[in-house]
Amino acid sequence: MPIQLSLADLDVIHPLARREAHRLCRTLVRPSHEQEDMEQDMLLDLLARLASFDPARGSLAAFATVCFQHRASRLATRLRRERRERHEASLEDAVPGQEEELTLADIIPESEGYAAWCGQQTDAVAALERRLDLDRAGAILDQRDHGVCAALTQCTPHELGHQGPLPRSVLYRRIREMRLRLLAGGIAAAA
Amino acid sequence: MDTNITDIRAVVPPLTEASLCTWLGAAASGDSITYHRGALAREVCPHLQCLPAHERTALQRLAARAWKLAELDLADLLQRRHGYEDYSYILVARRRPRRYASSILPLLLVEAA
Repeated sequence: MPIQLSLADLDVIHPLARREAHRLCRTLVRPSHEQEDMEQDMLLDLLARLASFDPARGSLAAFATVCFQHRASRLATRLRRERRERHEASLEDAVPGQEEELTLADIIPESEGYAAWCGQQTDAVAALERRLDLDRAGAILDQRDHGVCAALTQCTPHELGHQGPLPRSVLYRRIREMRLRLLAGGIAAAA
Repeated sequence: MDTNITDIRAVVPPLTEASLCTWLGAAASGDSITYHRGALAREVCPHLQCLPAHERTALQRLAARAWKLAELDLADLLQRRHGYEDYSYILVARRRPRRYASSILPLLLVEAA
């Protein structure tokens, strides 16, 4: 029979979980905002194990404490492993085996930096080429087609045909015209 | 060992609107292509029926596309006479402007406002 937790039980369990999460957070030198996540993790683990609780063998607080400690141990192992895989290092760390005194910041290219991970454009030459391509495409396309191009970045031609205001046949005719003009301007289709 | 360099501007016949535009996109200033040989006005006329319907339609489209490219100042159209009702219709790539006026920036500014 599943054990129902009363509000009084929760009053006992919550401080235990908070204390264990606080201890874990300090031990692993994790940011304080992660403490709440750890606490939730421990409480969830306890709920999953609550069916094994036997009141004849001890109090709920003792059972919860053991559960929290085991969960904290597993969390600590996982977090340490993740940290090791991440190779945390300072950008100001010196690079060994170099004649000059170089730091990590000197040898990591911008294309492998944080901005690149977030999908931002880091290659200045590529950005310039893209800008020139856009200017060229803008000059070749008819002014009235700019709105259609903008709408096509948000939805497919099929959806745009349904939304209007352009009739479907007119829309597809204009898309075909745009493609041919772009081809003539030296901008080939991406696929 | 000799290495064959593929000519990206080579066009595989029959010429279509898309292949003509692709050729022009890769062409240098002054490059030319003969997009038709014969008597265009006669051959595209539906009443004379010089060509089957699908070929005539394709030729009409090709000729119309060449005309549009000329209207866009991307190419010049020439004809070379070989004999009676025998002409080469030639499209010559024009020089592209060294710098295009930015047409995207004003749009972005309008959208940002």
